[in-house]
Order: sequence, then structure tokens, then C-alpha cells
Amino acid sequence: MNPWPIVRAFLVRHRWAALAFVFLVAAGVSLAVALISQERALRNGSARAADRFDLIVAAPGSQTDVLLTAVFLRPGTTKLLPPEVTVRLLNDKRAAFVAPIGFGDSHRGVPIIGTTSQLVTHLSNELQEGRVFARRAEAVVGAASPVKVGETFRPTHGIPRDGNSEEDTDPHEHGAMITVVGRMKPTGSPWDSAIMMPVEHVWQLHSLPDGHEEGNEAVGPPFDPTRTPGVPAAVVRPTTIAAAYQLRNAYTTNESMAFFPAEALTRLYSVMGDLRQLMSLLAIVTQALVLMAIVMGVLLLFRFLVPQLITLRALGAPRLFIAAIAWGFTATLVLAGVVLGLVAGYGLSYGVSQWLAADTGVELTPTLASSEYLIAVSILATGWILALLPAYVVQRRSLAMSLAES
Amino acid sequence: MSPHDAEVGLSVFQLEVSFCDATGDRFNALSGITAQFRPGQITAIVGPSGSGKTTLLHCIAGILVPSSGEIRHGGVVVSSLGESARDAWRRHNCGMVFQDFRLIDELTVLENVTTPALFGHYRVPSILRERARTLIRDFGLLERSVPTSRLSRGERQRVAIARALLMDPAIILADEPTASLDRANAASVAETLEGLAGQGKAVVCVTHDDLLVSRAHEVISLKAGRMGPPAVDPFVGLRAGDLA
Ligand SMILES: Nc1ncnc2c1ncn2[C@@H]1O[C@H](COP(=O)(O)OP(=O)(O)O)[C@@H](O)[C@H]1O
Ligand SMILES: [Mg+2]
Repeated sequence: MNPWPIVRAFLVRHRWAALAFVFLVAAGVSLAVALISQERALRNGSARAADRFDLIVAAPGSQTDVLLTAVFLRPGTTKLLPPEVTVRLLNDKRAAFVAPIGFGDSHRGVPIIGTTSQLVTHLSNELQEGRVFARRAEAVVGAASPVKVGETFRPTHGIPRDGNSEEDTDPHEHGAMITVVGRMKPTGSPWDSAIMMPVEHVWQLHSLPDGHEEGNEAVGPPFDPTRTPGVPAAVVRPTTIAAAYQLRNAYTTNESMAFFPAEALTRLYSVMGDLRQLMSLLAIVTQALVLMAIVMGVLLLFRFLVPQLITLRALGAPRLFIAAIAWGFTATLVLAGVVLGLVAGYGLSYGVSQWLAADTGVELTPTLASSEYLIAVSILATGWILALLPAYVVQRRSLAMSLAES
Repeated sequence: MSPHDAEVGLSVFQLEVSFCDATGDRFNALSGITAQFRPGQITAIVGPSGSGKTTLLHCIAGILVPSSGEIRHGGVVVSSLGESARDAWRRHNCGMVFQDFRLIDELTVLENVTTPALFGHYRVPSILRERARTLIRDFGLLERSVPTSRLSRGERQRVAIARALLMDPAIILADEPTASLDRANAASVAETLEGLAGQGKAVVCVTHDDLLVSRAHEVISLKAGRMGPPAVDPFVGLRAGDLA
């Protein structure tokens, strides 16, 4: 007893209907899978990108805005921390280090970030190539930067928005020649394409006091309290967890705010809760559509199948044989649709990730996890159960009646 | 004559089949049918349209269970078997040719003819495949790899007959097997059926075709579900008598 030759013939002869059914199922499965996979990739990717930024201190305002500019390097305007707070913060002993973050220049369309070598070392663990900057005219590039170690350049004033127009800035090169002395390891964040140089140089370029005594060309802490300007944000590496909470409380004042990026991300996701709800709603809707497609498909395939199954009964075929054909036909199609849907869903998620990563610099690695497989398996199971229907109906009806009718 | 005569191959006794008509009233599609279908004999079932010929054939095949009466084959009371057992009995004993052929139109000629071989085998045994090819050739068909839906009615009818013969059944039940055939093909089918009877098979044909009736050993004439007096039609009676 082997139903496959007949199932295969049915599949071949009804290939267009069969393909339409497979694609319908695949489309629904892939959408649901891509939505869920992408949502997780976004959450994991952004959490990973923000992971090494322990505590961020900035002027009071929107944590999300600060997070987006300081960690995700999205163009935006942030208020500066008052110089007194900046100085107090930069010299705070409860932190292993405090790294100021300063913006304002770019090179080849990527932002130049003024900071300290401690942050560079911390973000990168060890450098991939070369060393951290030790002088003002030196810089370190991110892992994905096209700028090579040993290259020299002059910073361009202003940060291009979206890489092209520089509406409110006047692009011109300024300051001294800068030499790239090192390259960071990949961090999975937009910092991978940025250029890091001593914050003192950025201050200098913008005619601000440069954090050290007049004529002192030192880089990094300690900073001179009388000659330190305000900064948009600083990354604080606390020594202990207790210190982390102390620091957060100490800098949550009228003049400054302090927050853990992970916390801010969680809040961001909950602010985006509407979007997530929309996404899960979409996932549910697509699943419902898939199930409807399966039901409709099964009913349509009925029309193809039932007369033939009745013929087989009339010829005396064993019940199991008939059931296997009836079930095998629909079950094969559902299986094909679900497998294709999983593959296409992963592909879709991968494509969206690539596109988002190119746009944001946040490395996104889409995966298929249990929830996606669960969707696939539940659709498969439902389809396989519904596929029993034709077999059941054919066996139940009186054969003489069926023969007279079809 | 006893219906339980062990010597009798296939017999029906006091068959009665009632159906509900469109208005829901019961009517007897068959009543009081008693007949024997002996091995080696062709039995023709004749009668006007709607007289119950197909119903009788379906009863004999175990497709339809009579309201009362009995169908026996050897020692088996087919009419009191359960559905699966009747299916199995039909599978093993009957070659069916349906009035509307009931080919599986997705399959090719060869696949249709070999379908009954799949019921009991994982793949069609080569001996049955060869037998199918011979049958196809004998019926003047070409072994084309197109679905049978593309064939003419006459070709489809011959495929249906070839399929009924594949498993070499002891009983052949054919519903108007020559209705769609031209004279030459009808004659060849009649000859084939005669040959099968010659091999000792019980052949039962519903037919309007004189060609077939003239070769029948027995003629059952139905009228409104009842058997008419034998040889009502002197012409048919004469022929049937001649051959007996
Ligand atoms: N399954 C059924 N339900 C109700 N009536 C039926 C059924 N099958 C056949 N009949 C009726 O029984 C009568 C005999 O039908 P049938 O045996 O097909 O006639 P024939 O083959 O002699 O033309 C007809 O009146 C037909 O309408
Ligand atoms: Mg009929």
C-alpha cells in the first residue's frame, strides 16, 4: 500500500492550485516569523550595542534623545551639562572612569567623537590594531571604518544629517592634521563606523577651553576645573554596583540626569509598546489568515479530491489507503508552505536587519527561536489535522449515495 | 432452487432496495430480485432507464446494502458483511466497470489501469505492470503519458475495462461497458467478455447493446425494479436461449 504515486500525480496535475496554496501558507508564516524574529533582533541588537555604556549622565531632558545621540550616534541636538557639573562628574572618585562625549565634527560623513582613551579601551576591550590615541592629533577608528590606520585627515566641521545635506552647518575642514593610530574591535554598535579622538581636540576645534592649563597639551583626565567646558553627555563606569546606584542618584538633580541605558531601552520599548502591539497583532492576523487559507484550501482541494477518493472506495481500496491519499495531499502542501514560510521569514528578517543595520549601525543578527518554530509547528499541526477532513468525510458518507452524486 | 446451494458461485435472493425520492417518500428501486450468476456465464441486465439496473449491480458489488434479501458468494453472505469487509471482498473478487467510467483523471492510462495493484503492494509489481500494458494494447489503446481526462469517451471506457481486468477478478460487473464505443470496439469488448466467461468468470453486464445481449447466457429484464417474465422480448429470449 503506497499512496504516494497517486498523491504525486494529484500534486502535479493540480500544481497551480497547489502552488497558490503553498505560497499563501508560506506568505503568512514568513510574515509572522519575520515580525517576531525582527522584533527580537532589534531588542537584542540595541541592548548589545548599549551594553558597555554603564551609566550615562547628561543635561536633564529626554533619556531617549540622549541615548540615541550618545550611544546610537543619531544626529540630534542635546543640551550641554553645565561646566560645574561636568567638572565634578569628570573627577568623581566613585567611578572607575568618566568619559566625556563631544560631537561637532565629521570625516567622510561619519561623526568624530571626542572622548577619552579609557572609553575606547573599555568599548573595544583591546584594540584590533594599533593603539589608543595618546596625543591630540591622533585618532582611533571603529572596526568597520573605511579609514585605515596610518591615514591622516583634517576634520570637517559639522555632522552631516543622513550622510548628505548639511543644512545648518557650514562644511569646511579645520584644525590640525590628525593621524589614525588604532582600530577598535567590532562592538555591534554605530561606534564601529565612527572616529574617536581626544575630547580636548574637539574642544580646541570649537574654540572652547580644552580641559587643561593653557599650553598643556595633555590628553585625558585629570581635567582642570577652571578650564573644562560643558559636555553633551558622559559615560560613567562605576567601580561597583552600589557605586552605580549612588552615582545615578547623585547626578539625578535639577542640573543633570543619570540613567542606565538598559533601563532607558526598556522604557523605549515600552514607549514603542504600541508598535510592538501592532506587530504582535499583525503576527496574529497573519496567523489567522494562514489558518483561513488552510481551511479554504482544504475545502477547495476537497473538490479535486473527493470524487477520486469515492472512485477508490468503489474499487474496493482499503480505508487506510484512501485516508493516506486524502491526508497526504493536503499535508504535503501544508508542510511545503510552512517550511518555505520559515525559510522566507528568516530571509525577510535577515534582509530587514541588513537594511536597518546599514541605516543605524546597530548590528542585528536575526535568529529563528522557539516562538517562531512554535508558530510554524502549530500551523503545521492545525493544517495536518484539517487535512484529515476530506478522508473523514469520504469515509463517512454512503458509498452508493456518493457514487450517484459525483 | 435453494439460494444457499454451495455450488452456486454468486447469487442474490429476494433483494429489496428502497430509496427516498425527492419528496421524501420511500419507493422500491428493486424488489423480489432472485438470480444466480454462475461462473463461466454472461448475465445481461436489461431494462429501461431508471428501472434499477445500476442499483442491482451496486448491490451485487457490495457497494449498496439491500433493505432486505441476501447476496451470497461461495460461502460468504456479502450483504451481511461490514463496510470494510465488503470493500475487501469487492477488492479481491470484483472487477468494476462503472457507467461513468470513474477513471482517476489525474493519472495516465497506465497509472489508471494499475491503480488496483497499489491497494495491496508498495509499488506495482512488474508482472502486473506488464499485464496492464498487454491489456492496454489489446484494447487498442496507446500508453500515452497524458492524464486520461484528455482521452475520448470511447478510450476512457476501454481504460475502465482494462482496469477492471487487471487483478484477474472472478466476477466482472460492468455497467453499460459498450455504451460509448463504436461497433468495432463494442464487438471487441463483447468478445473479451465472452473470453472471460470462457475462462470461468462470472460476467454481469448492464446493457442496452444487442451485441452483448446476444452473447449472454442469462438475461435479467428489469421493469420498475422488478424482474419481468423471462424472455419477454422473444428476440432477446431466443438469442439467450441459443447460447445456453
Ligand atoms: N442513492 C439513491 N438515492 C435515491 N434514489 C436513487 C439512488 N440511486 C438510484 N436511485 C433511483 O432508483 C431508481 C433506479 O436507478 P438506477 O438503478 O440508476 O437505474 P438504471 O441504472 O436502470 O437507469 C431511479 O429512479 C433512481 O432515481
Ligand atoms: Mg444505470
